[in-house]
Amino acid sequence: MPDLVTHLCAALLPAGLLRRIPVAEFAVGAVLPDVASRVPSIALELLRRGGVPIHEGISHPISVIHTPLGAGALAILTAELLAPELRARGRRWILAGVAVHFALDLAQDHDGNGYYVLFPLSTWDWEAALISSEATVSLAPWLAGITALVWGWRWWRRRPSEPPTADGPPPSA
Amino acid sequence: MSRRLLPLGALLFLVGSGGWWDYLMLSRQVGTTGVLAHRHEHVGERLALSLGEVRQVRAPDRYLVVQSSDRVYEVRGDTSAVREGEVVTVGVEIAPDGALRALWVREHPDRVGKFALGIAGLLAFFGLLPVWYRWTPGGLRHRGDHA
Repeated sequence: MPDLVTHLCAALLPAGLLRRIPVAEFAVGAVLPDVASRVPSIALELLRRGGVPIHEGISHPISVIHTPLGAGALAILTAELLAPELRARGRRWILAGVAVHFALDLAQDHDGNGYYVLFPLSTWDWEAALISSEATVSLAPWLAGITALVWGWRWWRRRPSEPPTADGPPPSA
Repeated sequence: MSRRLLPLGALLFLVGSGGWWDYLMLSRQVGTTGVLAHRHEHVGERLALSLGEVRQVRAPDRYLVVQSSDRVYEVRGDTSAVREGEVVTVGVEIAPDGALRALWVREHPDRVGKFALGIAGLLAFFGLLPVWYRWTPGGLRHRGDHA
C-alpha cells in the first residue's frame, strides 16, 4: 500500500482545487481501507510478535476490508454514520474515495503479489505494477507540501476582506 | 425499503466474506519447514515472499524468512545476498523436492520511512476530522444544522 500521507493527499488535493467535492467524505473514503484494515492488522501483528497469543483467524477477516468489494461494503456502512439527509451524497463520495485508494494501490508493484481485486468472487490477484511499492516515500513529503499550499491558497482567497467592526458592517463603496 | 436493506446487506457481505477469507487462509496454512503447503503452488512455479524478515542464516546456502509467526520459509540461496534482521522480498522457485530456491532478493530500505509516513497520515487524518466537522464553514455540523 502507499503510505497514508499519500492516500490522504490524493483526496485533499483535488478537494482543495474543486469546491464541489465534499472533502471529509472523500478523504474518509481514501484512507478507509487502510485505517480499517491495515492499521488493525499491523497492530495485531506487533502484539503477536510481542508474545500476545492472538489467533490468525482474528486478523484474516479484517483483511477483507482491504479488497475493493469489502471496502465498498464498509463505505456503505460508514455513510450510515452521517445524518439521513447527507447519507446518499456521502455514500457516493466515500465510495469515490475508496476508488481513488485502490487506484493508487493497484499502481504499485509488489513483486508479483497483487491484490485480490474480485474477492470473495475470486482469489485471482492483480496489480498494474507501474511504480515501486516504496516510491511514495520520497514523493509523500512533496505531495503534502503541495496539498498544504493549495489549502493555504484556498483559505487565503476565502478569508474575509475586512473584519467587522463594533459599529456594524463596513460601509459599501 | 431498499435503502434500509443496503447497510444490512453490506454488513452481511462483510461478515460472510470475512469468514470465507478466514477459511481460505487457514486451509492454506504454511508449515515451518520451508515447504510451501498453501495456495496450491506447483513445482517450477515462481512467486515472491513479500516483506519478510531474514531471521536466521542456517547454513551456507540456507536462511529463514519470517513473514509472521506462522509464515516461516526456509529459502535455499546465496546467503551473502542477505543479512539477519533485514526486511526483504525474495523471489523463489519451487523445486521438485518442495524446497524454495531463491532467484532474487530485494531489500526494503524505506520501510521505516513508510511506517513514519503511516503514523503521520493517521495523526493528520484524525486531527483533521474534528476540525472539519466543527469549525469549517462547510463542515458536517453546519450542514446538518441547515438541513
